[in-house]
Amino acid sequence: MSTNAVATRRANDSESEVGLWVFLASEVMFFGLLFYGYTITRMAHPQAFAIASAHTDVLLGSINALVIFTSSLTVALAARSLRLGAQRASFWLLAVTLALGVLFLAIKCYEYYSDIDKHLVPWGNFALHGPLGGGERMFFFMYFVMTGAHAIHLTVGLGLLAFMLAGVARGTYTQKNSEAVDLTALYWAVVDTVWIFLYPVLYLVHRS
Amino acid sequence: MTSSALRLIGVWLAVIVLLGVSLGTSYIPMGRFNSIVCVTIAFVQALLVWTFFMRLRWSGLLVRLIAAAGLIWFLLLLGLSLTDYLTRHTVGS
Amino acid sequence: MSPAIAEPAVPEPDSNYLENGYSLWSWLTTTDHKRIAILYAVTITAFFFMGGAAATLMRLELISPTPLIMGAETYNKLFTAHGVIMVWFFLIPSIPATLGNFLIPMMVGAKDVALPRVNLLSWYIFVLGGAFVIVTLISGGIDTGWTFYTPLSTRYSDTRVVYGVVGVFVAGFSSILTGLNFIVTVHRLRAPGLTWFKLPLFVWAIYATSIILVLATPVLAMTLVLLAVQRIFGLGIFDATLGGDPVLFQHMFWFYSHPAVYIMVLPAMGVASEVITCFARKPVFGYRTMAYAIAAIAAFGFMVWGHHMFVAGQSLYASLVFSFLSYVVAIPSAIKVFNWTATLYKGSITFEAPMLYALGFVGLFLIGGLTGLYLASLALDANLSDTYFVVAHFHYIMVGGSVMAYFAGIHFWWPKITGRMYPESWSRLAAIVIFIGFNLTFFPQFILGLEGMPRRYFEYAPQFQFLNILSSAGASILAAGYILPALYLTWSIRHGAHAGGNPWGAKGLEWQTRSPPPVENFDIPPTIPQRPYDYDPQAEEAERT
Repeated sequence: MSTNAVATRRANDSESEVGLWVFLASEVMFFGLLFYGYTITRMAHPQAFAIASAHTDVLLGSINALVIFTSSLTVALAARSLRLGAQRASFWLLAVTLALGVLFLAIKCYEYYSDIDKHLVPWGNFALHGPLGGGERMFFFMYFVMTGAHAIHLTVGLGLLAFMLAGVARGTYTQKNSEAVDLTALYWAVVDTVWIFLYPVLYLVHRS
Repeated sequence: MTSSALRLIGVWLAVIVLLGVSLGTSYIPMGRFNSIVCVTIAFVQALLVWTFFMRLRWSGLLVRLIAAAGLIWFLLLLGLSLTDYLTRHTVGS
Repeated sequence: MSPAIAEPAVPEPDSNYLENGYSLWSWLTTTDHKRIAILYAVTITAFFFMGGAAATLMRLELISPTPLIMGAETYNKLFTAHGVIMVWFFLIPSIPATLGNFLIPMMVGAKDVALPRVNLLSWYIFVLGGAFVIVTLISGGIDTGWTFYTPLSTRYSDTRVVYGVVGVFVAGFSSILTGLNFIVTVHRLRAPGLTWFKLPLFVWAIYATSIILVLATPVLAMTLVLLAVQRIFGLGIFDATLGGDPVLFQHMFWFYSHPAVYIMVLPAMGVASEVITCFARKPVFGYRTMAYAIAAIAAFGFMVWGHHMFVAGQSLYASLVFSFLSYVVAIPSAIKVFNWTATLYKGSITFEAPMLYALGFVGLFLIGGLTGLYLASLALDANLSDTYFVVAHFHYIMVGGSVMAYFAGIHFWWPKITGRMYPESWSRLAAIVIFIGFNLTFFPQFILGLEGMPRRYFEYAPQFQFLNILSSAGASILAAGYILPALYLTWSIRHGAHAGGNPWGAKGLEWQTRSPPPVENFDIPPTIPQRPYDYDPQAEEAERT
């Protein structure tokens, strides 16, 4: 087989792969429900959501988008390397992915810290008191729930990546036994996808 | 570097460029089109990630159907609910 | 990942899965789908009696229109406990996690499910969810109803709502993993030559149920998360004082909970097809139509949830759409009832206990389904919503339908699972007692509803008393009916006559192996039939072993 074919590997749709995709479909529904709640509430409170969104830290959000999109590349490359037998390259690419994931969480933590500092937490001493009622509070309710759920999924992903890293280092996962890394990369790509949609919906509602 | 690696990097570049476009256009006042542009870009980015990073381009029919099912069911949730939320204040309801 | 592998080492020749380790540890660490099915069966039976106890206490109270043995708070907690336990900890896992787990690998000719360890994990998650519910009960129970409507659940209830919600949330993951496992198993582990249209309808039914489990349950999970966060922190998107919408919770909740009723009914329909074909000695009428009907029910079942919200403040136009779609979803269900009837026609019918339960299922499901049509009509529902008519409707489907079918399946496959026959006379008696008790309990409730008695009320107007007394009397008969199988089935495990591989002369791959089956299901690979339900009503004598 040419390296290109191996690298792309026509999926033989193994049981584990089918199982993981079924799980990913359920993940779409998990986050879908949250996006649905956000959408309906925003439709009822468009201006309040716009005002509230303007208070999110678009710089940090954009940097995080960059970080996570890049990590998605590196994990895809890591899986590809392993399929091609480049064990060391795979190891380092997984390590970079893990590092980027940790960086994402660190930035997120800092962002939460500054949100709390700016009194953007909707329960308690909330800073935004628009004439439009509680819409700003509801925006930040969804902001914390959605980014929180995303962060939890990302943390699980970090655990998986660490496990894969150890496995590749020890030689458990190799060119002949690369499926676990492939599936981890798929999971990570879904975590990435959620951010693809979270980012505009939370940070870019009303920047102009 | 083989073409497969270059392809992945190319997709990444496209996603980053789209990120920039999304961010940039959000500073241009376009009224409700801002949201439409952002969400459309997000869908394109997701499509790129799912097709190339998640390798749906080379997957069997079953996996593609499963991936599609998730999306379709989400649209069903949103779409049918809108029959309520778009008509709440219509005369007669 | 390697394909399904059952218990380790080489079992003794002629040994079966029950003999593969007698210790508790061997049961608690098993990855054998048959043992996991039994673990589930024991667990859900315990929950069934807990939920039944709650119902018994409620029916005792309802003998009197004024307070008799409890106060209003307690009554609210009882109907909540009854609903939560019966829906999530009995009905939803019942047929899929017990009969489905035991039979699906065998029906597709496999050694086990696709992901055996995930299967065991799903049971542990289920038990963990159940533990949370028990903690909730011990700490006083919750009073919101199993539907957790806001703002009672998010703000005004002073019961342990979060504990209960966590229990359901956790149990949901068990559902998702079970469904995931079946989907992969049916797609990837079918024996060579076993195409989709040779599969028993039970497999189709469980497969369709699995799709619902995987796509609907996550929605419930996150809905409960939003509820819990709002309750804990005091505000959220369902909060009307902020401009939020309590009805949004209902949209989210019912998007799952309506398909959930199809999770409860589709497997029952699958069982009915297996049992009716066997005891009428006839292939099912219209096999492909039956399979497509299963798929249609699963698909359309996702599009009707708004019919629970006709009087909740949903827009009229949405209600019209949901009403129309509710009529549409009745069509494939009706087709199935016609086809079971046509299967019986000119069959060679015998009335063993499984058949009694299956026939009961068809008739009672029919009544439940027809009364659903009443409720799908906007004009009627405006008056019947939140009355006992609704209570009677869903109990006809879920108890008259699903529970009867579960009993049909338990009795039908009991010889296969345990290697023993149960006493036939007692089983027929129990079936009849259950049928009579059920109808006496729930038919008066249709009339009560039409006369205007509201549901979830612990006091009621005195003119409703007579029918309530009838209903409670029926409940006591029903309870006696349910205790009978608990007794004779348990007795049969040790003392029942030994069953052969195929005591009913049934078709289906599971009947080609021993009873109880070997650990890896088949000593020799099963023969794939030319078509499913290959019965010949003319030649039934020769089939009986």
